[in-house]
Amino acid sequence: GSRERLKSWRGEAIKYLTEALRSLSEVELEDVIEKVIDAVEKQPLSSNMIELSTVEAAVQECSQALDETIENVFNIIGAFDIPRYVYNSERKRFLPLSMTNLPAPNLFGSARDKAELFRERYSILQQRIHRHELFTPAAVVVHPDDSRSKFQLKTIETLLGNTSKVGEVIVLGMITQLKEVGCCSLRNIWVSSHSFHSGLYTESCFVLAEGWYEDEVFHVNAFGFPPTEPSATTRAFYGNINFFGGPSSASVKASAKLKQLEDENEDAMFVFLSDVWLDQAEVLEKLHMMFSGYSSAPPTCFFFCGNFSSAPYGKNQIQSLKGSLKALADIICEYPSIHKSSRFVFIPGPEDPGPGSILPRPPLAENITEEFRQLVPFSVFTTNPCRIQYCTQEIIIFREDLVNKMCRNCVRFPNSNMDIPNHFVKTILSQGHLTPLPLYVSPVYWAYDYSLRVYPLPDMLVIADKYDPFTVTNTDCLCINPGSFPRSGFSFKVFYPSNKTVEDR
Amino acid sequence: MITFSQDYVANELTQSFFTITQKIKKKMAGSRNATEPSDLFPVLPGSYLPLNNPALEFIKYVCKVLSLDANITNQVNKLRRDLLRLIEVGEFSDEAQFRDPCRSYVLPEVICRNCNFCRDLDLCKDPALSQDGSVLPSWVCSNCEAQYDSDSIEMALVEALQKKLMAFMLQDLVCNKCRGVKDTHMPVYCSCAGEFALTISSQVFMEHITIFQNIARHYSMAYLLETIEWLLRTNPQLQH
Repeated sequence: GSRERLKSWRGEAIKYLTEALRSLSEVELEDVIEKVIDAVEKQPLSSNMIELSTVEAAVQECSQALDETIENVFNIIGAFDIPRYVYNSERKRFLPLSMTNLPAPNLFGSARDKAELFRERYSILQQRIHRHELFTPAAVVVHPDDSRSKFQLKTIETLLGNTSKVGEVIVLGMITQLKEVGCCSLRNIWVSSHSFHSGLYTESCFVLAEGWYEDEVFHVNAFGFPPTEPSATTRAFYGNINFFGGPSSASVKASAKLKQLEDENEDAMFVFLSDVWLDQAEVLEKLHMMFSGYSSAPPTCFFFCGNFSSAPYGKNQIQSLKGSLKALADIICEYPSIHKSSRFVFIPGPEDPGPGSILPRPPLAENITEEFRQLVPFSVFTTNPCRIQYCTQEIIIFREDLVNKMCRNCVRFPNSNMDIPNHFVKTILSQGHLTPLPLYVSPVYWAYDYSLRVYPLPDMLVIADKYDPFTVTNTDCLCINPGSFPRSGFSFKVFYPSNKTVEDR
Repeated sequence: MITFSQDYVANELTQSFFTITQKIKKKMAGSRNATEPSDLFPVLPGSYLPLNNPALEFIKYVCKVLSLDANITNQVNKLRRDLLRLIEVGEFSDEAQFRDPCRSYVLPEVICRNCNFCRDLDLCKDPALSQDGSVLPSWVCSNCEAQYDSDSIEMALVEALQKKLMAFMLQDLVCNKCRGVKDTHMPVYCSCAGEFALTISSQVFMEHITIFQNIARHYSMAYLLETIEWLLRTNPQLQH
């Protein structure tokens, strides 16, 4: 096919094409040649012979398309760059901010922003639950018993309108502290002896309460979490919107080319470490060992989470951190293969210098990281939390001692049929939010609460926590905690995206 | 004594001030645009007003000082009126009202590392070492004349900034109509149908940030400056 079409090309045109496509692999070559020939034939031709200038123009056009794909392979998306989608309950669609009449987010929000924060957390869960098969009526009733097994999801407003008893009802509500005993206000749920399904029931989390309503009191039989939704289901319903962020105009899941790149690149490797205390000699020593172990096969990217100092206080904190980063840069430079081929991504921890512990946290100040970035050009300092897009995979990284925070703020500590990591992961994925906690426990810039969403579910969630390391999979989402590097015997985790496996080191 | 000062103000002082004011007006015109600060005025850590008319400011400050003496009030008022008329500014206009040109930020309990003397330091108003070009300005202990450590003052300011940020994030919302504090999470309106408002407004917050920014610029506190600039960038609506 291609050969036939190339017959009318001038020799120099063919030579030019050969040169231009030299860097491509066998697989890509066929594809690209076709494209270039198509582009050439589309152009207005002055003679029967294809000229060099025509081919040049065509290659230009095609290489722009190629570049686009290459640009989409690896992206670091800071929390403040995540696209803002607002759920519109009338149209049952997520709309980008530009299509709503909401203002752009500001750090210092308005009074309305504070209420919207919780309303949006709620509406995301509500739309998800409504579509769940547990609540949607069956199109055809196969067996009379089938229709009875479906529950009715009601809002509290509709219940309050009832004078008679309403049974077999499920309500979605938020757990808050009761102000007065015996008072039943709109969002409060009177908690008495009930069965709780698995999960960490924290204050300000959203729960499904199943029970009956009578005389302005809702009697609860059981509490459970909203069922999780695999990301494939979300995409099936909402299409290929790029909720995640990054340069791609559509969801990267839709790109066959990226999937191919991902499958082929079996050596791709991400290394995750947390609490990288650069001021400690032993930590630096272990990093030396790690780099020397990897120098023959440099990983794609090292993700270093804070805190970057074991003593993050005092007036010399800034100077000291600059010095520690310099020490790390020197170590990296001792391994030229790693220095040349590996990327370094730094995510700040709760005690690292910055404008406080409100989320999302901006990257470490440029003033502090300038020298390091000059010595190690392949390094990026990003926000906490942050998102990583690699080929078709979506990864969220969050550095926070979250497990303990959530356990401490539980309304009811979970039963022991599951271990804590499993309860924890179930909670986060079901709540669709990194911090399903009250603002005074986990402060968030109100208008940026959406940057902490975990919906649609990512492929991988990295919660860098000082809790013991764990690896849990739930609803097609791989959730790992690399643990605290210095406190867990210098352990860390390695992720291979091509086959989605995690290794403990 | 009293009659002497009254006469003095009414005659000699009035004369010399008239001459001075005319000289100022002739030599230093200031900027044309009333909202832009003029370059003639030094930008000090406490600066925040858009000062642009040297003659006007001279009149205001001098008269303010003289007004401290209650015995010569009438004479000073006349002097002020006449001087303002000279530069064509209305006596009761907004721009003729005196405003303290220096903002104030007090850092409590600053301890000198040399003599352990402890005092509250006003970062804007306390006199700093005059710059001789090569030496950075800094503050000086009133007891032993040793320089305060600039780094620890910078960290103290960063900490103060963090606390203010946190206070803003965690503030109560108050209903405009019934003044009740909001105790629920999700409702947008109060149960009395009023709208909620912030108890700490972003305006107040911004004022503090601008003071810090001035201090950071003047005393070359790079880290504090970068932190503040990030805050301002992420809040486009509040920048002026």
